[in-house]
Amino acid sequence: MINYICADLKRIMVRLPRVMMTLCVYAVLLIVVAVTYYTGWSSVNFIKNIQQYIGMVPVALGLIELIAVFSDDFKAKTMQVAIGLGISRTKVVLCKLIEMIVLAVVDAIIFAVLALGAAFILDAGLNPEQIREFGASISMMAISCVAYTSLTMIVMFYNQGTGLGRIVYLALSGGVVSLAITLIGLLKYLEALHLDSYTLTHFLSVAKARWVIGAPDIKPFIAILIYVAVSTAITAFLFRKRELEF
Amino acid sequence: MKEAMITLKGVQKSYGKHHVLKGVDLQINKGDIYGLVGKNGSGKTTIFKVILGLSDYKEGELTIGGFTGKEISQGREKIGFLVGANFFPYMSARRNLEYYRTLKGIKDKKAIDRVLQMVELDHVKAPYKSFSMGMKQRLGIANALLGDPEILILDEPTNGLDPQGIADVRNLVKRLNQEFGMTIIVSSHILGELQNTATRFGIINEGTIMRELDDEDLQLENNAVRVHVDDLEKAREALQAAGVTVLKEIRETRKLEDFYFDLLEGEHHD
Repeated sequence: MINYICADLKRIMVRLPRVMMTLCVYAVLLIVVAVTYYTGWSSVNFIKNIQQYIGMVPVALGLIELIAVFSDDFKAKTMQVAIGLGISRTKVVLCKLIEMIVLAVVDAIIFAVLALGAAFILDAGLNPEQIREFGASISMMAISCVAYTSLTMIVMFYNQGTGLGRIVYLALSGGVVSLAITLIGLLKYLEALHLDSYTLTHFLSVAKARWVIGAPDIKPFIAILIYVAVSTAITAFLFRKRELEF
Repeated sequence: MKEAMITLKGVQKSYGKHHVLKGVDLQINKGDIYGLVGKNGSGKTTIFKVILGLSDYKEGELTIGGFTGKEISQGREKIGFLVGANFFPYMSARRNLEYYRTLKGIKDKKAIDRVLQMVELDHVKAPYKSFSMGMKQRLGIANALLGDPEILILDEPTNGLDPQGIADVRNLVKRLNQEFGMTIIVSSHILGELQNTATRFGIINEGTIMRELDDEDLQLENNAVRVHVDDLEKAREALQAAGVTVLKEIRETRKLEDFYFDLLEGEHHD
């Protein structure tokens, strides 16, 4: 497993389109900082604007990393070689999830370094509470990417491709699923059955909100973990049943 | 008695209601170049997928290198394989093999140089997507050789190759077998080419091995020999005088392949 993860990460880290796209995301971060600097520089405005941007990042950055981790591998069918070399299909699924986690953590660290570095250099005057708030937002950004990816993996491994998976990921991370449920009037039924408070998006929102205000709650994190674990288990089960395509 | 490297006994495999393998029995011995011959859709690739664990089988027994059941993955570690093209199109040959070297946990960085030299791709720097069919096949063989496997599985390695490419693959396969003692399984639907390469053969049709045979089985009956004479008429008269009845006379023709290469060689010298 370690060899597969290392081989993939080495390949992904130098994949030029991915590097370019992630640099664009970081560049927009710096633009947000610059705009904030020139339109009303304060620690409050800094945190507010950065957090607004961070809220959108799981859609963009998550999709970039999802494509980097899964797309080339499915197209080149290189995971079939990994399976032929004795790595079980379950382990292949786990490896991909771990790669996504590693990339999400790396992205979060780079994000934090850039944002906090800019705040420090430009003397935003952040207090410890604000830094904690920022840290919580960044961490939830990474957790959101991983959590939505775990759900998307079900579709990707079943289809052995990322075409439909990209749409599913965008729909989940962009709130389209929530919006669709509201528009077609399903929300009231979910609320009546109290199912609205068991969605992944709800747990992510609650976890972030509580952490940001300095009152972290372990329960939503456990729920997110269960979502990830169950999604991964379903993915592994379905993938084991599928014939590999050559 | 030769050691069995891969054994299938009564292996069955279905895709839904379509029975692809209907009780396959075959044995590949150490040092064989085993040619698996059958038409398209006969089950050749499926047998490879079953051996490599890329596909489950319904019934039967599979043994690789003495390992079976839950320990079979240890046997699979001895196998290098070319089954389909599995490379990243934007990466060069060297970078693709670097990926697989890491995946296979091979510490020796020079292993890539060795296998690229074997298939004559060591000076190619272009990305995989610009490769010709022959280059792609050769890279696939190079990848199969990474890690010095004991068993090599090549699924239709001469597909899409020109005559020179086919000859190169044939010579490489023979060299790997003779110099390194590799056990090699090659599949093809081109009978003539397989006969030039393999030492044992399995003929598969509609998911069943119809017959396994080796070189001796392909010999004609003892009374059939090939004789080159300087004067054909005198030879005929001599045989007749000796009371020998010639049952069949077949004029020997040059192999088209030999003619082709001789012609090319002549053009190069010109």
